[in-house]
Amino acid sequence: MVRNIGDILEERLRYESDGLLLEARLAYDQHIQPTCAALIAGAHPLLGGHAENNVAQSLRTDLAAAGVAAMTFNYRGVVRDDGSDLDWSRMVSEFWERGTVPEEALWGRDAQSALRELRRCIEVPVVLVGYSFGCWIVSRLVDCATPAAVICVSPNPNQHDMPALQADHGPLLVISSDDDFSCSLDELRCWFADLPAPKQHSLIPQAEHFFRGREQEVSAAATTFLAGAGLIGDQP
Amino acid sequence: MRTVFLTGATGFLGHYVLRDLLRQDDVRVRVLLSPRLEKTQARLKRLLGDIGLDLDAANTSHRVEFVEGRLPDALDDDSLRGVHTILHVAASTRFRSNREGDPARSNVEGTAALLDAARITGVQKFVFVSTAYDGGLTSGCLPESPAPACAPDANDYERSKFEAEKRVLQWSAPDRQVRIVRPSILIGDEKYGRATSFGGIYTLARAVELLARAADQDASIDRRAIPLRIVGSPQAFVNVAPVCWASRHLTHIALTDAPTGAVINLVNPSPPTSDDVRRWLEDVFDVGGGRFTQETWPWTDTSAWEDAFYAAGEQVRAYLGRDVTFETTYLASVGESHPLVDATHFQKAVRFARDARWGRSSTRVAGAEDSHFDPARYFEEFVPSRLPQSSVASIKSFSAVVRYVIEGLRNGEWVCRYNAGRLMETHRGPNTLNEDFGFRIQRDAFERLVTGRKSLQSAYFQAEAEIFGNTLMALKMTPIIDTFIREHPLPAPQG
Repeated sequence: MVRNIGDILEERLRYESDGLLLEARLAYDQHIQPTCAALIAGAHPLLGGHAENNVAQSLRTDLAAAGVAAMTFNYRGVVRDDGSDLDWSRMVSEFWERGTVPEEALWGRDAQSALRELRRCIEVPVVLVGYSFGCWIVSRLVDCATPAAVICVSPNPNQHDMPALQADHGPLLVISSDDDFSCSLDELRCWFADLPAPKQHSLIPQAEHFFRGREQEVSAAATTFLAGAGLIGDQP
Repeated sequence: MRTVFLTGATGFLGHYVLRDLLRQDDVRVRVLLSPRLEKTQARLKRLLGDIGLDLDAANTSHRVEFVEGRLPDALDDDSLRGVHTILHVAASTRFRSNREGDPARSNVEGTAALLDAARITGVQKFVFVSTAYDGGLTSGCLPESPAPACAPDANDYERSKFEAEKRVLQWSAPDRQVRIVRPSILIGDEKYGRATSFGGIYTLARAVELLARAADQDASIDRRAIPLRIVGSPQAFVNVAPVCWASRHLTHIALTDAPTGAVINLVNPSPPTSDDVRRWLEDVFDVGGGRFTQETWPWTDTSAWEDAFYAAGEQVRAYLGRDVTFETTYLASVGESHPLVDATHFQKAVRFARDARWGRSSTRVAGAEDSHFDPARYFEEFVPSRLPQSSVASIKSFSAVVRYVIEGLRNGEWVCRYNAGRLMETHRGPNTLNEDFGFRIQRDAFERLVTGRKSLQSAYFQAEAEIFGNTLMALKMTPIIDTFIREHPLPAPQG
């Protein structure tokens, strides 16, 4: 299925992960040859992390408008009829109790599969973009994906270790707010200071963890960063 | 098949009793209805329909018949022919006598007329519904035995019941059984708080509403600290019980020949205190500041607030200014020992009455199938009834106090305390439990949410809902709420 939004085409894809057919959406400008592709890993599935999450969806369309082939994807279990046999009730229970569930590793595998699908669709350098829990997901892809750049939006190093980001991974952009409930600005700056260069930190004040109504500021920071890294052309 | 003659069937207690009688297999009920029969019968049909009984179906099976009449002077000679038991529920509940002579005319003369007719026609059992405050007792323990005397300051209603009891006891004979049942103050049913008359304890609730309205008009007053003296002791009991419960017991007493005493106190074995009632009412109407006093009434220095409060009626003092306990031998014999009314039930009953404008408008009770969306019923009836069936109930670690604020709805706040996956209590209003976190959501968005047309997470990300308090806990709660709604969506409105 293809959706036409101005010059932007959105393809609804199915990608295969551990035998499951999961949903992804790939957006691109039909008049521009993409210079890079972005895999956008969304928030935690138990916290509204799906392909149409406000931040993920905004990044997908805005990056596409900037000449990037941008893909968001659903983790298994997010769409209840995707064939996965996840015990949602148990997950909800465990998540309430511990704030984490064992299925997170499976969702990491889904991201790997989505990355394979993206690369099958288009052969250009890949940028990994993570939002919230998605930052942890992309950190697990860094080693094997050799990305052209990494963008982390609202990372939460208090909750998730992301040791791969400590190694050489190409240009890194961290986008955060100064009133993120999950990680204070001081904590984030401390974590950021330990990361290797090249790196940038873009602060969007008073946007909380979720950037509700401020999504375009996130997209603008991302496209500016990618332009600076030479991965996309001039802004339209 | 035993035939029971029932009076007062269109009353608050009486129509529940008729329903419960007709639910028994081996009972035929003859109902005394006041003229005009057709009109009263139609009213009764509506009342019974609201509580789930199809009167036409009962009619078809010849389980119920109607006779027209009025006590004390318009009872047809044939009315009691073939009757085994009389269940006399009809009463006037006026506290002070009117020009027609009520309550004495209905309660004393009416009962006497019925007893005379019963004597002539050979009725074997007479069950008389009296009052737990028989004789105007204001302190001490009321035994399950005839009251020796009437208190000097008893009101006319209490006096009439005392006199009627005496006549009923005089009717007793070796071949005639008498039961005098003394129900406590009745309030609406457990499920919806439904009631059809709003005197009694409701007068007290209405007084608090008047107080709240006065506070609405006065910007200078802190409505949580209104200087109001309340007559009585905070530890005194207010013996309220649900109408359905009373009806079930009354039906049982009428239909069985169990060896009980002639007098039965049908009261709440573990009633709330006056202070409980004060807190519950203040909570409903979002006011505060009431304090109990033992100062002797009447006062000469009442404030405008006290004038507003006590203007609601004599019952206001009657229900708070007493300190009475009850012998409960009968209830103990049937194993009834638990509290019958808690904050949730009491407040539900008060809200029902308020929404029914204290009887000035017709408020029909809808079941869970009703698609009309009412946030109060959702929080106070739907969720408590469905949560135990949900997988959320298995989340034993789930304990939290959550406030829900529904924007665009007057007094649209509910605080729910969950413990080990169970909903322990729900309070309406802003001044109850301290929440761990809460959700603020527009009423229309909330309707889409609970009908499963939108998830709470989506509503939040689209800025249709807000979180306050502990954000992390609130976010972790969202999949729990969404799980519950997915399993138990409220039926969407039609059209």
